[in-house]
Amino acid sequence: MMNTAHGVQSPPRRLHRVAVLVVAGAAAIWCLWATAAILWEGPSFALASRPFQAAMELGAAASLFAVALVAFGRGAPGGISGVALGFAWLVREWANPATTQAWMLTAGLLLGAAWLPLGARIALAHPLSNPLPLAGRAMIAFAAVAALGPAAVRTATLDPAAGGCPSCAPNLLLMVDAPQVAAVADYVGVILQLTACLLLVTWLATGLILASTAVRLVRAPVAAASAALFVAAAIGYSSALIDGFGAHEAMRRIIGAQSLSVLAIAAAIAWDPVRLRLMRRSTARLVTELSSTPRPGSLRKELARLVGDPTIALGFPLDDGRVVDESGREVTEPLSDAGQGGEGSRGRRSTTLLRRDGRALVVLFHRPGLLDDGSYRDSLARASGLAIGNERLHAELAAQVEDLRRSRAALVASFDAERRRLERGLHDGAQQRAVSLLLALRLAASRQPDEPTAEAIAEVQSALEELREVAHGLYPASLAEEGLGSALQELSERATIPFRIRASPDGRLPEAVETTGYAVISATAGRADVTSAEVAAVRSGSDLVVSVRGRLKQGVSQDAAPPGGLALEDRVGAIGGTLTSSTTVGTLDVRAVLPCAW
Amino acid sequence: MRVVIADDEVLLREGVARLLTEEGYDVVGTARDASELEQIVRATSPDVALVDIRMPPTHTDEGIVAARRLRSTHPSTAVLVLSHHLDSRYAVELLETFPCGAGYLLKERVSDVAVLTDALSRLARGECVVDPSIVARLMRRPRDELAALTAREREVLGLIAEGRSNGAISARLHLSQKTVEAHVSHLLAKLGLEDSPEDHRRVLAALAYLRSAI
Repeated sequence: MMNTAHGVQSPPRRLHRVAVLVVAGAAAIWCLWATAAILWEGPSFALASRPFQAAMELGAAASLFAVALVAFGRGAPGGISGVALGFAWLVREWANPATTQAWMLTAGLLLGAAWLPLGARIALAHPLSNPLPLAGRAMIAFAAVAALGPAAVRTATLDPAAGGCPSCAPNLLLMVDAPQVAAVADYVGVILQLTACLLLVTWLATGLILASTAVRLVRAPVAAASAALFVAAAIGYSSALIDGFGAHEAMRRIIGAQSLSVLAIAAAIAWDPVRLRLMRRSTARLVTELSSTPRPGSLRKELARLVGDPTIALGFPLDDGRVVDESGREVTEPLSDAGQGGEGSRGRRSTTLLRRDGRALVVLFHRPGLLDDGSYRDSLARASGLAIGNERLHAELAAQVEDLRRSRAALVASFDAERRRLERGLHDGAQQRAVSLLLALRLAASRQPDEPTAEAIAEVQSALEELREVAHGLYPASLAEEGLGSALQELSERATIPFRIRASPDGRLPEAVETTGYAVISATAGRADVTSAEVAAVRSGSDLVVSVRGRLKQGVSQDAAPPGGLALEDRVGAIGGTLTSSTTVGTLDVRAVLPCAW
Repeated sequence: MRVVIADDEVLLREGVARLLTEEGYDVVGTARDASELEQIVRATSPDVALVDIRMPPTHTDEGIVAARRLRSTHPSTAVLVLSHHLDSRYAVELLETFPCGAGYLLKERVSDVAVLTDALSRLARGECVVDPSIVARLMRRPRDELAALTAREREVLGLIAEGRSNGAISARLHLSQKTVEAHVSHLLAKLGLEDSPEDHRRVLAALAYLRSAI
C-alpha cells in the first residue's frame, strides 16, 4: 500500500536518495538552460519571436522537475516518472538546427516522443499505487514501441546535413542515409503515436467512469491532465498527417496546449500530498473531537460528516462473533463479503471492515465507493482508533446489558408461565377432584346422613373456596383469556375498596405487557394502606402507560413484598419499562411505562 | 325433567347423573365434549343441558361456545353452564346471548342438591340463574348507593340479580307479591334503574349496575 512508502527510511537509503536528488536537480537545471539556448537560437520556435510559448514549454518542464523532485525527496509516488517526463519534454526540442551538440541532436531524434510512454505511465499508475493491471502495462508498452520504434529507424537513416541542414550537428547513430525510409518511419511513428494517444484517452475516460466515487476523486486530477495532454497530442498528430509538421499557427497552439497539460500534470502531482494532508487533518480533528467528547453515538456522527454519508452505520464485532451497533443491538446485515480490511458491496450498501494491528475494529455500512482508498481507510482507522475503542466498549457493555435484560425477561416470562401452568393444574386437577369428592360425600350423605359426613362436606367446600382464590392469585383466568381490560374489570369486582377504572385498553397486548401492567395495578391497589384506587391503562404510541393513584391510610405499614411475588421494579425492568412512584400527603402515585415492542 | 350432562371428567359426570337420577330427574345422556353433547341433544331434545365451561380441546370456554350453538339449534333446551371461576363476565355474556333459560353456576353447586334442583326447575320455566356467590361478591363492593338501600331492599336486589322473578322472591322471603313489587320499584328508583316486565332484562340491568365502575 501507499503508506508503506512513507515509512521511516534507513540512513544509507536516505543518503542515496539525497545523492540522486542532487544529481537529478543539477541535470534538470542544465537541461533547462541548454533547451532555453536552443529555443533562443532555433528558427522554428524562437524564444525571441514566440516568447510566451517557449516560456510555457520551459515552465512546464521546470514545474514538473520541481514537483517531481520534491515528491521523490518525500518518497511519494510519481517522483521518478515525473522527472523523466520533464527530461523527455525538453528532449523534444533537441532535434533542432540550433542544437550544437551532436549527442543532443541524436537524443532529440531518438527520444523525441519518449514523453508519450512516460506520460502514459504517470496517467495510469498514479496515484493509487496498486500494481498496474496487465492491460495498463500493455498500453504503456505499446506507447513505448510507438514512440521509440519508428524513431530508432528514423535516427538510423536520417542525415540532417544531407537533408538540407548543412549547419546541423551530425547524427551520431546514422547508419545509412535513406531519406525515404526515414520519411516512412516518421509517418508510421505518427500513426502509431496517434493510435496510442487515442487508446490512452479512451482508457482513462472509461476508467474514470467505472471507478467508485472515492477512486475517481483521487485519480481525477492526474487522469484529466494526462488525458488533456494526449488529446492535444492526438490533434497535433492528426494535423501533422494533414498539413505536415511545421511552424504553422495551429501547431503552435497545439504545442502550447500540450505544455499547459504538462503544467497541469505537475499541479496534479503536487496536489496529491496536499490532499493527503487535508485528509489527515480532518481525521486528526476527528481524534481531538472524539477524545474530548466520547459520548456514545458521537463517532457515528463524526464519521458520517467525514466520509460524507449521513446514512453510515457502525457495527462492532464482539469476541463471541456477534456484530452489534452502538447501543449493543445485534446487527443482522450479513458481513460475508467484507474482506480483510477491504470492502464488499451488497446492493446499494457497502461494508468496510477497519482493522488495526490485525484486530477487527469496526464495520462500516455505507454508500458504495466512499472508502475505496486504502490509505484513507488506514488513516481513518489510525485516527479514530481511540474513539472506536471507546465506542466499542460502550457497545459491548450495552450488548451485555441487553443480554441481561433478555435473560431477566425470560426469567419473568417463565415465572409467569409457571404460575399460569399451576393455575391450570389447580383448576383442571385439584378443583375438579375436590368437586368430585364433594359429590361423593353428598351421595353418601343422602343414603346415610351423619355428622362426620356433614363436617367433611363443609371442609371440602371451604377448601374449594380457598383453592379458587389461590388459583386466581396465581394467574387470573380473565387476564389469560380476555386480556387486561377484562382482568381489570374483574379486579374491580373483587375489590374491597372503592376501585375506579378510568381507562383500560381494548384488544390484546403482548402477554408480558398485560401481565406486568396487571401486576402493577393489582399490587398497588392491593396494598394494605391503600383505601381507594383510581387506575388507568392507556396506549401511548408503542407504550402502555399504567397509572394507579391510591388514597393512603395513615399509620398502616405496607408489606415489603407485593402479593405478586416478584418485585414490581424487576417485572417492569424485565420488559424494558420504567416504574416511578411518588407519595405526597395521603396520596400514592405509581406510574409504569411499558413498551409493547422491544 | 329430562337432563343431559356434559363434562370431560368422568367421576363428576357420573356422580351428577347419579345424584340427579336419585332426585327423580331423567338423565337422558352424558357427554365428554361439545360434539357428543350436540349429538345427544339432537337425539333427545332434553329440557336442560348441564355444561362444564372448560372442555376439550382447549379447556377455556368451550362450554359457552357449545351453549351458544345449542341455543340456536335447540331453543327449547335450557343451558346451565358450570365453572370454577367466580367470574361475572361469563355470566353476563351468557345472559346477554340467551333471552331466557340460561344459567351460570359454580361447579361445586352440583353437590348442593337444593341449589341445583332449584336452578334446574327455574331454567325449565325459562328463568335465568346467576350463582349467588357472584352476586354476593358484587353486592359487597363498597358503594354509597347500595349503602343507602335498606337491608331488605339489598336482599331483594341480590335475588333480582340471581335471576329470580317477583313470585320466586316473595316465596323465598315469605312476603306478599305486592310487598315485593313495592320493594322492587322502590329500590330500582333509588338506583336509577328502569323496571322491566321481563325478568331477563331486569337481571341484566341489575348485573350491569352492580358490575359498573364505582
